[in-house]
Amino acid sequence: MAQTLATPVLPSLSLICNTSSISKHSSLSFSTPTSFPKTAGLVIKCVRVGGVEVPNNKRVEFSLQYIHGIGRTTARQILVDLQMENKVMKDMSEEELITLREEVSKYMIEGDLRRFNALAIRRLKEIQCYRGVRHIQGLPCRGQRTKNNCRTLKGKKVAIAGKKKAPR
Amino acid sequence: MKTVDAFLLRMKTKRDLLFNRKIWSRRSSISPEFVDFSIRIYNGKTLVHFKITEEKVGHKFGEFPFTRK
Repeated sequence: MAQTLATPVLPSLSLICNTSSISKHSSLSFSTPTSFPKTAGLVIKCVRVGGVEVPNNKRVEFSLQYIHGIGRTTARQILVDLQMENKVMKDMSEEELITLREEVSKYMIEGDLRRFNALAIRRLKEIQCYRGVRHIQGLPCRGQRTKNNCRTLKGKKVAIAGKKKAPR
Repeated sequence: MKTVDAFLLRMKTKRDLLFNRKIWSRRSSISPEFVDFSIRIYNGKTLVHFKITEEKVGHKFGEFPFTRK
């Protein structure tokens, strides 16, 4: 029973990981095989790098930036470290993808990074220092002005009832 | 190098001096020797009671008492 259960799962997993097979798979599933899926804009084919789906139709430098924790600098640094050509993601071979995944796993990304940041903020809140208190209040903690602006933290504007405009 | 005012630096060796002491030097950082002391820090108007714990090491004294209403 266990074998029969396991066998249908495995090929589907390999489809997710394997880029060449995924392209075949998607072209088969499409009713119109002449039109490419990316031009149709219905299906975004993906490669999994670092536990996240990364778009297939972009160059490595830019598709890596879809991972939380990898920005422009890190993406470029990864390419330099691997001595890799900046190809479109779907042209990558399987070995290149594996080396890429190993390189990406050296950085702190996604869940780990989020947890790390959340812990740092929680520590600030616990010791009740100025930055922690600003986090609790939901206001900027780096000395920005709060008379106006800082809408990122305060959220959308709320009109104060009964506040009259100054007469001209 | 962390900023610590000279009079506080002396207290690393003589720790009893720090007990319940008034501190105006908000710019000095809290060094590990000061743990488990309660002191009073100036907030611009009054002196605020403050207990130094282990997590607060490395921050400045001025980060803890609030200076606004």
